[in-house]
Amino acid sequence: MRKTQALIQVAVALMADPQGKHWGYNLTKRSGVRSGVLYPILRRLLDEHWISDGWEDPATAGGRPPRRYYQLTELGHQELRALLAIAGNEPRFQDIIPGWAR
Amino acid sequence: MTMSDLFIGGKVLWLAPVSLLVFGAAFGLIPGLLLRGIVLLYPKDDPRRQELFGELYAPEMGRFERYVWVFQQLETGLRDGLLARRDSRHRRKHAGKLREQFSTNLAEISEHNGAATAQRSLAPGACELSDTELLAAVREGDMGAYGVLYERHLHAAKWAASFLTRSSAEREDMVADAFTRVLRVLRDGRGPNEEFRVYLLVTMRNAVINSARETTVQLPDVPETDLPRSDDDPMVNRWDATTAAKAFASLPEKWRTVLWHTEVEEETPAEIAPLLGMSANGVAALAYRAREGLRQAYLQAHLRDVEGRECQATVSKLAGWMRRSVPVPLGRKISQHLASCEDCRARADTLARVNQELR
Repeated sequence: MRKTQALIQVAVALMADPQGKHWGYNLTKRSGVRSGVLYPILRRLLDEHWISDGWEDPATAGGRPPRRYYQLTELGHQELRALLAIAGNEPRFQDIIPGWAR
Repeated sequence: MTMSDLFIGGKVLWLAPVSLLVFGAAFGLIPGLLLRGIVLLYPKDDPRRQELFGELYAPEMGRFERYVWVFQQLETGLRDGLLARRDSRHRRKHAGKLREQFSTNLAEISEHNGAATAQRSLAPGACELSDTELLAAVREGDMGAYGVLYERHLHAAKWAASFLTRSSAEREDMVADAFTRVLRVLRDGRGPNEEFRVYLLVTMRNAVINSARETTVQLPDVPETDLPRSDDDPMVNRWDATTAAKAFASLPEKWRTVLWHTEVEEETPAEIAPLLGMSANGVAALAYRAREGLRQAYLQAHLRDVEGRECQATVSKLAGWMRRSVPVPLGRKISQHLASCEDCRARADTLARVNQELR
């Protein structure tokens, strides 16, 4: 997968909580990537089995439509960590990768 | 035209959208309505159609954020949605072309051999179409395509069935039953898009499980993490095979397929590549990742569910920890827990022994 600024930002947002469930809207806010760019990235990550998806339990949603969530897979976790480690050495990504993610 | 004309014109121009927005804000209708239109940009079966409504009504989205967000979705839909639409149309068209190709093939063969033998004449080697393409053709109602799939996967199905049954008659029944079930599923428009073989084998496995449930055999309680004592005990080999099967079944579809072809059938990446629609290099990389995934799943399958929150958290990540693929903070936590928990330390020891055998 080609290293773009947006992919790195999404990777950082996902790796901030590697076990957690991530919602699309929440990801746009935390990564700072707008949804027009985020959703195609999520589609690619799903195709690669780097993330898996699922639906919120309608019982806990309390009447509103259930949300779709994304979760890192073991494979995705490995791959994204490697990706961030490599990108961390490139000057163009210096500002967007926090210290913990390198 | 005077200044006052312009002013009035401007005012009228602005009045309409402003009052519409006020109306929308008052009743909270606009975002939902707009989104209803926007999701039409996505293909019919795209989960994103539902996903966007889930996001819109999420509690964390503020009332006014919704307006901005919906307009962003318009842009997203134009990019992501239309691209997805193009892809799915491409797939459908491709399937249509295949059906034509098959029909002509079948017609030609039928002329020579008579209709009854047409299906059998399509030998696996004679057809270079991938499983994905064949599955699409079957969904379009092409039985010849299913014939090719049958020939291509019959051997593997028999091989797998021989582990699950006691007699060859039972085996034949099981294989025939599995192919029929999968065909029924495909005709309903459900079932696999690419991994036909894995789907077929899982269908057989499920059939075994279901019939076992019906006969209600009482299984003895098995103590936690009991490992085989000797290597030549047949029960032990059986146990190990079950564990491996369990680990295999827990992997993603794509990994199972590539492992099946590389490990069981011992095919080279170049041979597998056309079946999966990938490059040979892609297959090799995928196989590498899948093997590591299987090692972890195999280790994990040696551990049974345990009580206690901290033990659960540790045990669920123990295999990853042993293969050094958990995040550092989690690894530290697991080490700490192991230092204080004798049970988990015993489990880790067991796993370490199995891990050594894997190398």
